[in-house]
Amino acid sequence: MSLAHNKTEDYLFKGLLLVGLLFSLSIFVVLFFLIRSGGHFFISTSISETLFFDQWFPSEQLFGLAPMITGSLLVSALSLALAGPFSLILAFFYFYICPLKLKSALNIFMDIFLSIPSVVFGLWGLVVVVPLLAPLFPPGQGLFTASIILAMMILPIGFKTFVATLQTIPNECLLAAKSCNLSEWSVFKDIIFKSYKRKFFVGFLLQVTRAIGETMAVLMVCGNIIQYPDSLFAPIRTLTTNIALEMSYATDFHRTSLFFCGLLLIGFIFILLLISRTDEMKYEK
Amino acid sequence: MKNKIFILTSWLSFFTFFAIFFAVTGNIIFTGLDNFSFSFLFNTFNNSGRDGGISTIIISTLIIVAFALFVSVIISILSAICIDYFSKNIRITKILKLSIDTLSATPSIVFGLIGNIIFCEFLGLGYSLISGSLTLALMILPIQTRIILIGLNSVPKDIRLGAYALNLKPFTSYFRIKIHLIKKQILSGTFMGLGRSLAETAALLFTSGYGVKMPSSLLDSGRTLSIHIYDLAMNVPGGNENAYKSALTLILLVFIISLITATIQRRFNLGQQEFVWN
Repeated sequence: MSLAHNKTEDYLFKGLLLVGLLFSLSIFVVLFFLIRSGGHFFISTSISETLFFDQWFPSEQLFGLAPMITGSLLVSALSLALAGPFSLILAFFYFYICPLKLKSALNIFMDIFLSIPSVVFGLWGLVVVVPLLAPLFPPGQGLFTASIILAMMILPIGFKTFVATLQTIPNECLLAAKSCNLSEWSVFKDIIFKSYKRKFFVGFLLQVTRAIGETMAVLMVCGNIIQYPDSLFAPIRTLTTNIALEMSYATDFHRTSLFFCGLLLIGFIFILLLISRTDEMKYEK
Repeated sequence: MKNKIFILTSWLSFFTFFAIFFAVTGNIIFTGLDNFSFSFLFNTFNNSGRDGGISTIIISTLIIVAFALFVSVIISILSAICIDYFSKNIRITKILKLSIDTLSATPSIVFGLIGNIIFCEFLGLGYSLISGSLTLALMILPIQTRIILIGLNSVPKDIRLGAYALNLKPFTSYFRIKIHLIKKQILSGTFMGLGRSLAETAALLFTSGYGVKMPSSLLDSGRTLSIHIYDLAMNVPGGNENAYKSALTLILLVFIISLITATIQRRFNLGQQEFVWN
């Protein structure tokens, strides 16, 4: 192998670097195409009217997104309320209380649970959970069912994040707590929760990000009726399921409005990402 | 007292997790195993999926996933090298990392929209296996890039300094030296991407389409296993039995892949060390 300067390799590297740069910045390509197809929506209708308007009748040129946005936010909030504390306690259990023999089992099963495809959760919800809830709270498909399924899907994500956070705790700190004979509850409340509040918050945000973006499982169990839910079990529709349901036959302006829904989703997620990053930014300064 | 309640709650959450786990997997596995025969895997599609098997669907799934991985491994290595190359410039690194993070948090249905508009319409590929796999490649790009980046960051300082001392060109130091040190990360990233792309449905709905024939070229439409399950469960009355059988096939594939991923990560110590009392 010669170490002499080789011009062609130089050019090749620059070319490859450019390709790499293009793909690392592919979110901008994504945004460009979304705005190209959905940006028309900004000009033709007033945004505030669309976001707070509750009539969605594409054939009559009525594009109110408010019920869908409400549905998305409600489902993610409810699923976080179910899965968030649960995964935090489970992570602490794994880290501090769990006997060594059970530890690897819990870890492996969590890995497997994380890998179950969303469409399989949806199928399970549709065939098992919906008929179970239908006689008690008709029609069975609705906000609560979707939240349960979503909670199960975001549980392992929270668990993994929280365990990764807990593993950064210095060993001495825990040994000191052990030698002071602190109880598990006070280790959790006074040491871990107090100093890692911020990081746990970021973990919860990550779960919400996943919950808002989830499509297939929600689509199969949420009922898909456009309305403000009047009870916990009422059918709803979310932004993601709206895209999945109507994309196949949408044309012209209707299609544009669906791309606008996509933009809105990316917007939500970008805001969540920025909130979770403010902490890091402070340290960098 | 509070402590006892807390410990009880945590044990309870542990058992609840296992209950949920076995409720889901047990239901899928046992219902799927009813009347399951291996001819299901090798028969062709019939009567909108109510009878017959999934041989053509398995083949289109394999084509889509293999092509997606082939593309995404190459571009993720390139983009990881690009991010590593610019790592001295904090401002550029910040933008690149934010862009990769946003891409990895983007919902899969948005990838479906994007794949539809870029590959199906802008590039004129139509509903085809190739647009599906390119969309998937874009989707698993950030996951793989992150893992490979971790590998590049953990390259020992001696090697960087040695390469610098020998006045090696960046091409040589990246593609002749460092790439051999990050093989493990590339492997683990590939398996992660494999798991993710097998499980994906929403991104493929409007890119690879619902075709059920044996694909003869990359430009044919073809559905993956996950789309098949969705279609049977939602659009085909009486398709639940075959939906369960397909779900069983998919779940077993995905389980095996996730176990392989976990084994790779543990074997090569890619994960973080666990805290052990002693």
